[in-house]
Amino acid sequence: MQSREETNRSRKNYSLWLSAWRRLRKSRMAMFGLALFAIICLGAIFADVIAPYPYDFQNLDETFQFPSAKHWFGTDSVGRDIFSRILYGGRVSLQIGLISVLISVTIGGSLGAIAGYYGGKTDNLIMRTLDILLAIPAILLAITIVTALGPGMFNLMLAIGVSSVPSFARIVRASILSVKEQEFVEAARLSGCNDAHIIFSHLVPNIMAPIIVQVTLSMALSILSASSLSFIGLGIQPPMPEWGAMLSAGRAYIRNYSHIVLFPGLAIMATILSLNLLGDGLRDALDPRLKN
Amino acid sequence: MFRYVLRRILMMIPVLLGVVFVIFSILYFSPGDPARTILGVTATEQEVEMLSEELGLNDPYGVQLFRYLQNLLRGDMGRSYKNNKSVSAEIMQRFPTTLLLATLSILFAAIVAIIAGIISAIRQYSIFDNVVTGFSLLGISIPNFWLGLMLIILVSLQWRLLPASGFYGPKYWILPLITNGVGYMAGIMRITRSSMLEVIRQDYIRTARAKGQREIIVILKHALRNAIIPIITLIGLQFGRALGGAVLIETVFAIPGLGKYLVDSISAKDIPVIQGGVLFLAFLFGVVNLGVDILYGFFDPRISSQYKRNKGKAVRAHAK
Repeated sequence: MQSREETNRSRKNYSLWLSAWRRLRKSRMAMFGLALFAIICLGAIFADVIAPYPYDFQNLDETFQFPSAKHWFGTDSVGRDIFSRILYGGRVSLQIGLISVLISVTIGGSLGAIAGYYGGKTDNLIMRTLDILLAIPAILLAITIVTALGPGMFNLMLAIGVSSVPSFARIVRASILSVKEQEFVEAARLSGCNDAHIIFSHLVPNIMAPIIVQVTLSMALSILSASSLSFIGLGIQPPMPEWGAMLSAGRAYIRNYSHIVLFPGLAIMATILSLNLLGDGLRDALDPRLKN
Repeated sequence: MFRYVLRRILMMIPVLLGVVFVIFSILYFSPGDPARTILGVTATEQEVEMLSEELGLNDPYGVQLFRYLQNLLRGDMGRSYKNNKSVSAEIMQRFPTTLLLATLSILFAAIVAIIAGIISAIRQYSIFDNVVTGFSLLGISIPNFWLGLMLIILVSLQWRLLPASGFYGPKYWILPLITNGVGYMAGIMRITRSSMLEVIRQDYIRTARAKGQREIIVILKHALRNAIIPIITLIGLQFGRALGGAVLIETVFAIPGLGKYLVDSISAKDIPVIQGGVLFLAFLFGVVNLGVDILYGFFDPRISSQYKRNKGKAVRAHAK
């Protein structure tokens, strides 16, 4: 009995996700985004193998080299290979993007689920508190947190993660509200499930679609915020390569050596574009009703 | 309508108090001794201790928070650790620049984007629509501080057309406006297009056309008015982003506004300035949101009717 139920459920899930994947595959833009994102991820993961130079290797005989066969993206003010630094920088950006989104989806998601499920006073208390965070422009909240904690990768993740907690909470809450009145929730309650089980085993799987879309789009935003904070000197500290920090360091030389700021910016843009394309595609694929 | 506005203002007060509490607390618990920051490493322990006492830094957290709030209500945000200047005065001197930049950017973005979004929705899948859609995808993905650097390289350094830094007149505004505007434009275009697409398929649009209404009136009055709510919501949110984003744009273009003031104080750990700057920008954002809420009431008859006398109770009871 148990096993048949299991297979039934997994078969249903299988076809649900499979049909979403089929729809996603039809969208050329989404597949382009996915491919671009995969390339960026592979570049970051295999930076050790691909990068022609170590990220902190300085060659003072070859400073400010323009792009050439030896240095694809040229070199910076102390002769470091920009292509290699961008590959390693991808590690930093992707890690920050992933972990800060995990932080916000965990905290924001739980708060939103609790607020939506219990409603009433709990809902009011949680959402009014989050309204306060929402009233502070995200980058300013992140700046405040990083100022308090000091710069560094983990603090950056935390600051960016916390500043997007409210938006996750809102989305999860709204989605929970839309499914919690349905019969299967009543059935679960009647069969004796406790609240935590209902929320996490019955409700959350039913609202995965908006969460996945938000995670993808939010990762793009997090990567942008991280590079913005690094650009104003609050994020990753040198010699760690980070795209925003590379832009900030290259700013002084834009008059004569604009390639130093060209490539890190392109890298940020490509990453964000890929995630946005993928996120839009996922939205259409996971929720066909939304499609125009 | 007046009651609606009043209610919104009253609802704003606890949020703003909460904002002060959150920002104050985060910075209060940051490591480092402010008195030591002010006096520098050469000062003796005794001098540091005396200054701490004088500034009230030895008082308990609650006392300090209360005192900060009290001073804030009088418009006093304390003094900079770096040069002992009044933070409120410094902010007041700089915020018009930041507000002007944010307002101009949003206005510029909104006008271009709403027009482009409408045309793109009316001519769905045309070349124009594809260009707009492509532009908005790129625009959302471009980091604006990088776009700013690229524009400086191209327009100011290569072509020598416009100044690269400062904010002294319309000539100086163009590059920051474009830099700031592109991202907001992209977002507003997207939402205008999708919101309009939804509305122009409604029956009442067909009815309006059927009764012989001129097309421009159908689009601007019947369709746009019904599609405008999500657009206004987004513009309000983007205003907040523009106020926060000032820290980046003002850094790129060396604009002497609030954002640059904030960034310059971060490295010096000048807490009163950071605290005051963030709070001020958050307040400004709150005021903008209030304006947006009032606009809702203006554009959406469902909201204003809730607050009309006599009818109000019935409608609200029905809504429940």
